[in-house]
Amino acid sequence: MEYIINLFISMKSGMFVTFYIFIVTLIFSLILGILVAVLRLSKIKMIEMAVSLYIFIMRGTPLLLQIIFVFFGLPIVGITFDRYTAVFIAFILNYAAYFAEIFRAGIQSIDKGQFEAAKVLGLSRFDTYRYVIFPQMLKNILPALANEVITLVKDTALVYVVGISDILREGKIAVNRDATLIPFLVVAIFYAGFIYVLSNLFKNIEEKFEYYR
Amino acid sequence: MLLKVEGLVKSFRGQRVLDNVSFELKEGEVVSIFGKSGAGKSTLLRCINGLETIDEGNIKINGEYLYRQNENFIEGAKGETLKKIRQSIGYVFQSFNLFPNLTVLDNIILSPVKAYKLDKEKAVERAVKLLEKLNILDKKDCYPYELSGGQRQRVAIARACVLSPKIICFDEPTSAVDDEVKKSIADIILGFKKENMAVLIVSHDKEFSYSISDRIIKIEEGKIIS
Repeated sequence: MEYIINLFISMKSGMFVTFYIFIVTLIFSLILGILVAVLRLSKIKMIEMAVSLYIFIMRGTPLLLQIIFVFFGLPIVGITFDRYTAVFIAFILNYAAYFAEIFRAGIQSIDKGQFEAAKVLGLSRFDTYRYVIFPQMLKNILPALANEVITLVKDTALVYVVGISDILREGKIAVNRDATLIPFLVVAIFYAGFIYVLSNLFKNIEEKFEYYR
Repeated sequence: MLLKVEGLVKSFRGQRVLDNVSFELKEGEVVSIFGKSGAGKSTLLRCINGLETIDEGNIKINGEYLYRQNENFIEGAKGETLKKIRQSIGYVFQSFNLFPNLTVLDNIILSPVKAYKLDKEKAVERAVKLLEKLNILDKKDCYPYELSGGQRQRVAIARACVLSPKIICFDEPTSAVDDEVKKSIADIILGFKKENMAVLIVSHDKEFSYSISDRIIKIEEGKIIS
């Protein structure tokens, strides 16, 4: 037991790294995802096509490959990023594409009459989304959003490819050092605990949205 | 003249649904557009409320052009002019289209506060007066799902009236309502008439249309026949 507690303490910097990558990616990809979703629904064909192509590339290729491309590939053409910046660019662009598709589906699930009512009431496009569409959309997309956020927690482990010491990498080092698999158990407990907290958080948010039907 | 529609033409995929429609609406007048399903009545109402573009013709509301026929194109109102037009015309949808995430009161004050920058207290005061008049003040903190069909309709009417429009449009106000609700809608409409508002009703309910209107416009296959 003492060994496990010591492992938790020694791996706290890895836990922080995992949490840091998760939270930064989540915040920025959600913001970018909303913008991309709105642009994806643009009536201007060129914008819609460009955004669709971006989403296709992000969803059509593995995130691991995208991290490798940003960190190892772009320097070939003279664009260099440090490890964290490269990871954030790849993660945010990738997750924004997934979130955008969830948001798009959510927006499209809203009855056309809601947009029309807002229009005849003279609401601006921004106010229509802010007060009418987004609150309703959020209620509809919460389960899909929760799934994606949980996947993001586990995907943070991919940062090993650029040598960032997240929890999994630290666990691996401890396994090699101590010749036991217990560090992996500690890593698993960390991920499961993190996801348990997130699942409950989403459950609470879903309950908060039950005030209307 | 509050509303003037001239030579209105509207087509969907090459098929004319409104063909050279012209009519006028004055203050204190209740006019029903009567016709069978698919005659183009609702499309006409949607055009008048700027929810559909038009192919030809003019629509003038309270002295401002919503759509104006130029030599080769239709010019639609924009910016402040459009806002002014929207303020002078209210629209009660057939399915009411209340915002389910907002309370009755918030449904009513959203537009005056956010779109027309009316002081929130004043907007609430106006909304409360309207709800009182429509006999649903006790429902002001309810969400739309907690209301009956008739109550929802009255909220939709209050929402359409909060900016004191000069014209109010009803799309099939008596569809799927019982006689009692029908009577209360008739009373509300006659109340608007007394306040010198113009009321435009689209309906396929002959009895209701004839009983309440000063004038009936019959529409068939997109054309006014009488």
